[in-house]
Amino acid sequence: MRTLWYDVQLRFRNKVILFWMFLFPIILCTLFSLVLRDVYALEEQTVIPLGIEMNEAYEQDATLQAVLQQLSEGEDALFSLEAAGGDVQEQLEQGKWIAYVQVMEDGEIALTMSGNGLEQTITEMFFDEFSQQRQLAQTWLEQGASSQELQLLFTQTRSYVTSMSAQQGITLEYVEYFSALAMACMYCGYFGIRSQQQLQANQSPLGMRLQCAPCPRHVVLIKELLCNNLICILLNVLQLAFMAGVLHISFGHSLYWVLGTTCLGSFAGNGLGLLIGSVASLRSEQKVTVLSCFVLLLSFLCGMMVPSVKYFVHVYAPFLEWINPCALLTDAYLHLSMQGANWNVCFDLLMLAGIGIVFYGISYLFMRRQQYESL
Amino acid sequence: MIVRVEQLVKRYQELVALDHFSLQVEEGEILGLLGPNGSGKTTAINCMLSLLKYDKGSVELFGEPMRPDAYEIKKQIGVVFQNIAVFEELSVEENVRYFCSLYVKDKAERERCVEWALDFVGLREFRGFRPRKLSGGMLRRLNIACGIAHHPKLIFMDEPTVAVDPQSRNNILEGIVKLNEQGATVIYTSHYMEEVEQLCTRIVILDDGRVVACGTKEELKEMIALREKITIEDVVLSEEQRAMFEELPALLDLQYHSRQLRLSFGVGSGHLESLLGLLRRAQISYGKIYSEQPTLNDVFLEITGRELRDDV
Repeated sequence: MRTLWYDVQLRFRNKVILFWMFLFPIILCTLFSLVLRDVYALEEQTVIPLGIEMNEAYEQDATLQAVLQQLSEGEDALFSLEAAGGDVQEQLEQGKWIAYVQVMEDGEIALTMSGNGLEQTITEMFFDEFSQQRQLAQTWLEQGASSQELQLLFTQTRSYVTSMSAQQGITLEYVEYFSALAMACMYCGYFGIRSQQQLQANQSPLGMRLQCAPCPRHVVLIKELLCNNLICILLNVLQLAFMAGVLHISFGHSLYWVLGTTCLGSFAGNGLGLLIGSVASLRSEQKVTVLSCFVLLLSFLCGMMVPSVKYFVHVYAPFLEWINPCALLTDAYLHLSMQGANWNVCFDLLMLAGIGIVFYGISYLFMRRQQYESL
Repeated sequence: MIVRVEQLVKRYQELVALDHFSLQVEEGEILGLLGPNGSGKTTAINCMLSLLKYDKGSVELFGEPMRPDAYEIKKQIGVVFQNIAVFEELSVEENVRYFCSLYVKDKAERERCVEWALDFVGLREFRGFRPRKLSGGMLRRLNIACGIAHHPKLIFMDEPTVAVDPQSRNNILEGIVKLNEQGATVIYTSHYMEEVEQLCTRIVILDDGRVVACGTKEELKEMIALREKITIEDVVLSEEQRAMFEELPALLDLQYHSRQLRLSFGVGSGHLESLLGLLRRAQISYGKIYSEQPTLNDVFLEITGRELRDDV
């Protein structure tokens, strides 16, 4: 531990590593902020297809007919209407309609949904609001209200549509930021590679000299990992502070969970570097290149640069999300930002801790096998 | 006895790097390990330091078996490897202090050691410099300082003067002699016979992982038939005149090439006088004539049939 202060200085004085680990993600997030803000929020409002049962009760409900008619016309149309016929269930399953609308004899409106989702929620919300605002809607129609004016009546539905659109936009934008932060955590692997070089006598002249020293191996290993993780956590926390304070990215209200996620990310990143250093029979510069490329790939697969990649992976190859530490980190940050600490966050962090332990374990086993003195 | 190595064997798959290598070093010696590239010098050092696992044999340092976790033994050992092993991000002083702190716990004593090491290698004025600002010779001196700052009793030096200018090399060799005078035992490996001849009290010659000869430089030279080499430059000889030289007593070898005549003589005396007499009688003119004692390269050549250095 007498050398701990120098070990800290060694890491802070390596400008190249500091740039890639600390400055590069900050620059990237700043660029995202300048270029991407509100881009994803400009989504077009989709028109929701409804199947209407043309029964006698519907024919007698003039208000409902008129409101639905108004809301299915013009550029701001919310619904598209079709007379229900044939196999209703089949048409719902095929996605031809989002909902099948039936007006019962007592005037109640029964809805059969095609599933769960944003459009189904909007439809339910609309018909709930219509039931409450029926009288007012009738009055406005008699006074000749237009479609746009009618939509003002359904404030809850309208604000839900707007906020979901915005939230979807925020989600997509935050995927970029959080995946860049995940990348920064995984770049802590640079220190892992460096530590591995010094833990094995045949990896570098420094490794040789250090292995001749009278220092118990487990003490050296603990010191290296402690130093690496502390510095990585410090740098990542500074990045968090920059994103929250300067770029106004919301991390939610669970500060300790966010810090814990960052700590685990640094832990896994160091482990990845240690693993690449132990397993790959390459020169140190080549190992650094492998780490850089691999982390960029992991970050891309969790939505950095192209957020929709994250959703493609989620739909078509979900197992990749479970084993990709960048994806786990990004998911954890997203959940913490949108919903706070919940089971999804716990799952992500448990998987991340497990992956980190696997990295360290494999590295340890490989280093023990070496002919040259290490562990 | 400070170092005892018995029948060390190290194989890299089919290649036998050390073939029943044995070595004994007394306290206060400067032992030279001499051999061409690939003879097993570095492998031997790495095995002795427990940096490399070996297949058979034993290594004892300071009377105790050497193991990777023999920390009490390691406290008394200093190492100077062929490749520069310093931190690029730390200054000269910080590097020496870093490595010294691995051996010396007490802060005051450590500071004394650091100051002594910087003085010893002559880098006091450059204490604040980073390694990339130093010349090759200074880097080598820093490398040495980092290995000896803690006053080790046994120092391993693996080709510490490779790619160093002659002046720096002399400084390093003088420094090693001083260390020995201050009580350190040195094991010094090199493929430069001049360094080993100048520096070492005892020499071990390695070839293909085996010890082919061992002794002081005088003892090694006694092992071979060659006793004197005489060279005559700028001389023109006919076949008849050349035959006359071949009649000289105790002549082992004669080579005539590009107006240069080289004669190797065995045991005996007065070879130069006989040669000068022959040149006078035959009225042969020449440019220069000089006599040399056999070198370690001659010893190696006679024992193995090969030169010590690839570029010779």
